[in-house]
Amino acid sequence: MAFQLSLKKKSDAEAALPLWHPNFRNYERLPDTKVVRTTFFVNTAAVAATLCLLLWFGYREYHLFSLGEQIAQAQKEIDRNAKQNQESLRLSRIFADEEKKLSEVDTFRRAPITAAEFVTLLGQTLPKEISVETVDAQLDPPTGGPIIQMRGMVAGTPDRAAGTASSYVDMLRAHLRLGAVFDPITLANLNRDATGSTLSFDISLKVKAESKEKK
Amino acid sequence: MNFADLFATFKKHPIGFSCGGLCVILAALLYFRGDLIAANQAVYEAKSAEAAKILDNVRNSENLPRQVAEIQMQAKDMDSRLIRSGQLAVNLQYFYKLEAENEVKLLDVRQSSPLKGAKGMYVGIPYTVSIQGSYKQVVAFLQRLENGPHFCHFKRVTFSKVSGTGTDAAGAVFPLMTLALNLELLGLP
Repeated sequence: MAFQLSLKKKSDAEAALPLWHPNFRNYERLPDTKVVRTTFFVNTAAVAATLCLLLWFGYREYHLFSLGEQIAQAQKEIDRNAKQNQESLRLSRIFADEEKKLSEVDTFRRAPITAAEFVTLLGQTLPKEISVETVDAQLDPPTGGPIIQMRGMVAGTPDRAAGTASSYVDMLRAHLRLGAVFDPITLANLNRDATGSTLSFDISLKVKAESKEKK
Repeated sequence: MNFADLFATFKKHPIGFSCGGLCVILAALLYFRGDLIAANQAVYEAKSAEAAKILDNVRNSENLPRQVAEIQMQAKDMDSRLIRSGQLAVNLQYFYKLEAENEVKLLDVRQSSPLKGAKGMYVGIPYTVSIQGSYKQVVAFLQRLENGPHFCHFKRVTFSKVSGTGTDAAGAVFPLMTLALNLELLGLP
């Protein structure tokens, strides 16, 4: 240890024998005779601790001040645009209400294929050997998806008529528009009539799931 | 140790005591103001987010007045195309007009009551319509219904061939067919 901080000498404490003369030294009042005084260390430590705390406190206060400034700036920005924002919100609400009306109408009208388009396409694709008796389109049935049932007659001998009916169904499946809307397109029935000169058929066309979703 | 002793000790180490006192005050201030930064940070983040949102709203709504005017015009036009379920004569007149325009024979037309408890602002007013005519006339009738002034939604469409023929204005003979429709016209209850 380089420094002896106690003012008392070691020999004072260790005096075992009675002193040969009275010791009148008052240790409390005696000056600190060490090379570097104890007060210096105490003061240095106290000042250092205080400075550290002051710096910390100052830093935090500055941070608080800076945050306060930023809050004020943000509030200023809010106040500056508040009126315009209120107007935008009002207009936005009006727009949303009107848009709701339009989308309701759009949903009401939307269909995978219109009835007129379907009938027109049917007329365009119908071979001359085939005549359609009924077309029943359930476009919005209570259960299941939209389905169209077609019933008709194919003229010709049974083998040729069956081939015509089959190729007609294939043609419907391969049709660009009908094939895109309907799947499956199936030949449900094919029966020979009493005279043997015609075959009656049933074709069912189901609307594809993705077409229904588009609806 | 009395006050005099304390005072004497203070006099002996004035700097140390002053610093100690200051440290205690600073520590107390740091302790009691410690939450302020977190609170102010939260306030700043909220204000900043609000300001950014408002600024976005203002920026994105530059064309909003024009768009609102346009959509209001569309909605007004759409409103004029809605039917009123109570105006039975006016509503049926629509089908009679279509009959005359497309030269089909209107076999039956009936208006039913709209379903109660329907969601939305509008209701589909149901009709049962049955017509007879040539293929061309029937398709034209359908097209007029679909693209006509009122919004139409078909529930069920049934075409069927009927025995017999018709003649047009030029005297040409054509096979007859009937068209039975279950449809809804969009309207107000």
